[in-house]
Amino acid sequence: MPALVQKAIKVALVGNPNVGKSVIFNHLTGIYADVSNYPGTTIEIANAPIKLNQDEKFHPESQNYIFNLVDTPGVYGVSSFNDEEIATRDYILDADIIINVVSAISLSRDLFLTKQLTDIGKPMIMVLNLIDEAEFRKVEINIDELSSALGIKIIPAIAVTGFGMESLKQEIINAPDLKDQSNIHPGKISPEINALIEPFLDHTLSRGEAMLIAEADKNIAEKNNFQLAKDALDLREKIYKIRRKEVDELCKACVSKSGFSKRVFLGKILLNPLWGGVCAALILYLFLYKFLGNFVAGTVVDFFETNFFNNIYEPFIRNIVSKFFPIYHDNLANLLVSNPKAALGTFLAGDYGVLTLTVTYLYGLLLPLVLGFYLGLAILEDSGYLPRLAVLADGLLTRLGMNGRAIIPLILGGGCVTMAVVTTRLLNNKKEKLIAMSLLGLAIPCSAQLGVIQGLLTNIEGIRPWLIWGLTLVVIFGVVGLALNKLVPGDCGHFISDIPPLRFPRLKNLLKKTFVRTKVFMDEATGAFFVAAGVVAFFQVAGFLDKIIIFFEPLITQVLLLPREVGLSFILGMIRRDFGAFGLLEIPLTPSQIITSCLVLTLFVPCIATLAVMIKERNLKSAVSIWLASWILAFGFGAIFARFVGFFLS
Amino acid sequence: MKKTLASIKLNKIKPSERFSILKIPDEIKYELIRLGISQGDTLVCVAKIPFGPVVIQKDLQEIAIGAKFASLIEVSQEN
Repeated sequence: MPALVQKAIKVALVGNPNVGKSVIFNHLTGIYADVSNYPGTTIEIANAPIKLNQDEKFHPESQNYIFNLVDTPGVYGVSSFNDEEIATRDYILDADIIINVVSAISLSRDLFLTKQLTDIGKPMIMVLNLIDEAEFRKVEINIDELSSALGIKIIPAIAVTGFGMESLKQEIINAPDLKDQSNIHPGKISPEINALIEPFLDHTLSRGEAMLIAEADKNIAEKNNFQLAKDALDLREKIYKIRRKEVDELCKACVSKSGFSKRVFLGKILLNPLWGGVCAALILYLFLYKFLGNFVAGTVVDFFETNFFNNIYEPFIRNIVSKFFPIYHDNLANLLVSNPKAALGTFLAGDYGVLTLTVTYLYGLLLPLVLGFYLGLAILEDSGYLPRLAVLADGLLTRLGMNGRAIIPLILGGGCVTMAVVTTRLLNNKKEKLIAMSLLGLAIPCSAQLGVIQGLLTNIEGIRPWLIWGLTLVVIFGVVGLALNKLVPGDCGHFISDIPPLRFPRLKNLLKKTFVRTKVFMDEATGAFFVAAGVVAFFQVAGFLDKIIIFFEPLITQVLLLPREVGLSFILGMIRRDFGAFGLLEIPLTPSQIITSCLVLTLFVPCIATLAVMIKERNLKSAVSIWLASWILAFGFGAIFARFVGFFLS
Repeated sequence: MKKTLASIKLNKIKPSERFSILKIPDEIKYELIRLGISQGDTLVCVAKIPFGPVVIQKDLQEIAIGAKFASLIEVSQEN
């Protein structure tokens, strides 16, 4: 068969945050873009060709084309108010076809973007998503009227179930007689706004660029060497107000609603200062303590780690390895020269063996915890709870120099601090980002640490050790935040957020999201973990391990009053936070030593991956300052705890 | 026909009170127009977190506005 030269058609999914763009992207491309129910999550922009099944009925021309779909970050309008908008704007200006995803329950908000897109004048289809939610809320939309008013095709959809996806795909695939008589039309351009844009059209600009310059988009004006007039902002306001008026009229004509639902009532409770706070505390208690702490770190990890890995898997491996090579325990001398066979045996299946401890730790401890964390997070996200938590937390976080939205990176930090640092982008300015980053680096434990900490803390009876550890972190978190808010110049607390409706999470989506995220995490962790474990095991048989432990011994035994072996865990924690746990569970500790190590482990330095991201997102100076500060905090508080925490335990 | 036209700040509005918007400061004006809120709109307060955001509702849309911005938006209470 002769190779076809396919023409690439650029299709952009555009819509407000949290309307289902990423779900639609999944359906059309078969590729999973991380989906979540809060703004700011489409940070790595997903881009893939639309998947065509063999049996699908194509337009005869369509095989000459390849449809590249891009999942743009959610925005409320096209301009350059922030980085996400700039990214989305550029994809829109570049696209051949625009798929505008709109939520049926927030049309008056979403249609502003829609009208702006029709004013840009590119071929466009609207996906009216969440029609099930609209029905549930007794919102009636006259789709035919809306469609003719906007001049574009509207496809009703329930993206999470796949409803409407096949017709959307057919629409796009059948588009390519673009040249002559397109199946996909640009929408109707508002005549009133068009009159205001027209004067800008002679500047060798595209329609979209002309509109953006009329709307005082500095960025686009500069790019085209266009000097914005002094009253450019007035023109923007004029255009925005006309558009707003048009949208409101459109909604009046096409949308009617009645009724009241229980979920609306629950939504109100969750935003009540008292009951909302009680619910938040209850949810976090259930999630962090009951589910992750007791059930996952206790029951599940016990089952896998102890019953399977420690009692069945490890003896089995040792048994095989020891048939060929001797395995030394408690060995701290250099075996490489004196007994190479034992060195290999110990490397493979010794205390820090690559085949023993590493595998146990990865799959017996880390895997269940990461699964548990991401499942819990997925439920919080998909139900629409996180934005409500952001509202509740805003007052508090503003005092700590951030705004309510910072709750998202702070909670994500409980999964992986590195990933959370990336999402600090959704904060407004440098000050907020720097403070959120510092707190993430200092006082938020990632899931791997949480796992070990929970594993350690369950060795002491009752909830008291949890409270001591948790409250100390809360206090440190608060004090550091307050101090940074005073010290870092700039202002904070810019918080305007729309609150998505509560939804009932769908099991299939929860599981998919959980598995995909866990897989990404484990794929990345596994390789790195084996390498690091290999290095440690090698150090052990080469006798270096002992030297490192001896070097840090005074700090560990004198300052923190801990057994010297714990030093190794801290050293490894500098490389990757989850290695910090390496072997810690195997060392016998007293209750106050347990709490001290948990605290030091939490406060201690962010791992190398986190540092790298911090440098990228901020700069070297901030990253190094955070790194040094965590040494001081960790050992300072560790020293105090080692001496006084005993009083609270008796 | 009775309307109190006295201008107060949005952060003084209590839950379930209706109000109309008199003036929005420039720095957030455009953002709010996009979300569907502009001068002259009549809205209802859904929730108010002490020292925190005011949550207002327009149609089915709920929007939270942080305390700092809420103290800059002028509104008049409606009956």
